Amino acid sequence: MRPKLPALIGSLVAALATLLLASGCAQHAKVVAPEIVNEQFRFLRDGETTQHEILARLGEPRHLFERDRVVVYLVYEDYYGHLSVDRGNVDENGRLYHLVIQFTSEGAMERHSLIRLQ
Amino acid sequence: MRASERLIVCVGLALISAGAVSGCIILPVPTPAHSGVGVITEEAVKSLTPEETTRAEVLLLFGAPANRYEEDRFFVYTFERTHGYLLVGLAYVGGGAAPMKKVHYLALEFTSTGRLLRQAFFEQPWFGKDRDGAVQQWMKEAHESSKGPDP
Repeated sequence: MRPKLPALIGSLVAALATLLLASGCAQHAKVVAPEIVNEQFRFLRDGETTQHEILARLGEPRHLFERDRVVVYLVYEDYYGHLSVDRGNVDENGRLYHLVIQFTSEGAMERHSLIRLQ
Repeated sequence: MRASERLIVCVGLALISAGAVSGCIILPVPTPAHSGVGVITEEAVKSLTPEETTRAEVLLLFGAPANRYEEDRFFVYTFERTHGYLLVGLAYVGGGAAPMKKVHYLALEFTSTGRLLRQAFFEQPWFGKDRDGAVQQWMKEAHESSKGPDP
């Protein structure tokens, strides 16, 4: 049975529509605005929060660098936009971030950033 | 293009032709590399200054690398970029599109004082098993250049 021309055109249109949807929904890499970090992790204050306090609240970091002066936490975002270092009910398609914290030699938080991974 | 790649392309074209004859359309549509959260752009890397940018600054900008080597002398970040779409249309059934993705690598080398020495982008080949071979070769060359010429 030979396919009819309208069916072929329909198939091509459907494929193109899916392509347009896929490309239109593509997202670009970004470093999340600091205020989002502050909203979800209000206790984090550059120059004030100590390494001990962060360890007590967030637990052991996922990665350590520069002799523990830079630490990285894996942060999950749930469906409602809440960020947490606990995976909780966040599924594998949920947004994922690296919370990077740099400390001074005295153990106070010097700088931090939140980088979206997926 | 290697012989194995030529063979795969020929087989692919044959399949596309056979599909078209039977009412199935398979159409690869290349696009400029784009999209993907977590993608490290050339522009972002341009903001790094060799001998000035520190390892900590890199971490604050890009997060933790996928791989670290030799006590953090080397960082390797990986991310995916879409290079096109594979359109599939089947008569009387419908159609769809799947992204054609490639893994990319950003390799960074730091000095013993923790400052950026050099950086390079690599991308995974479409075919072949040696996925990060270019990155490994780059690190090997870094070793050889750091040894310097024999006296």
